[in-house]
Amino acid sequence: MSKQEILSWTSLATSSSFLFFYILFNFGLPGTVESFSGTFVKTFFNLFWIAVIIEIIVEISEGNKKVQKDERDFIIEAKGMKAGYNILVISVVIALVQIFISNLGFMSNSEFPFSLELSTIFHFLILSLFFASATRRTIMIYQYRKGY
Amino acid sequence: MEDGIIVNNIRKLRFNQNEMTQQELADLVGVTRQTINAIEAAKYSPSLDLAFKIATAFKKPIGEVFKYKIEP
Repeated sequence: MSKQEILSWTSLATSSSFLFFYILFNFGLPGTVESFSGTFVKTFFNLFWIAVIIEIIVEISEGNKKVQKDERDFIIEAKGMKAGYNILVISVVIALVQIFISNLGFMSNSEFPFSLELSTIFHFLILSLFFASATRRTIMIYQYRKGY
Repeated sequence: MEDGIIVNNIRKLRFNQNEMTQQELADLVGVTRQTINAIEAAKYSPSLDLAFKIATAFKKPIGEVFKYKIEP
């Protein structure tokens, strides 16, 4: 496994952990899995720190290698970036449309059916950011595993 | 024109050069060992620049290292 592939795995782990803790602290867990919340918190907390430790070890052990990244890594990274960027652009467009719809409701002084609060749109954008990052790393791992 | 695949003789050439390892070739041309492995397995087509570097490492013309094979 190359250094870039290992870093893709660790980055996916940290993104997933951030996503989990963001959801947990802002919305809490759904009632059906609430009883397992302690296990989830422990798992994601450990996952985050294991990923950080692996990144440090890889950086120390592979840091002295002549080639850290080559043309194949750049192509794979570009494929991941493209997917992540598309998700972000779609999310921003949805958020902008949502703000416009909310303002329509505000201007007409009536309860508009699809209007959302600004804080909800903000949460949506932050979640999209984590989701885009996780998607980018997933696409990269898929390409590495495929043997591209 | 029909589509084809880029095939190569890198594995054969490595063994003819005192059983050169993938890592040694990778260091010579400035890529990772995994990239040489992917090229050998014809899963990744190298850039023209890298293809020339590999051919130069074996002291062979590029046509002897890489061939474009049209699938029937």
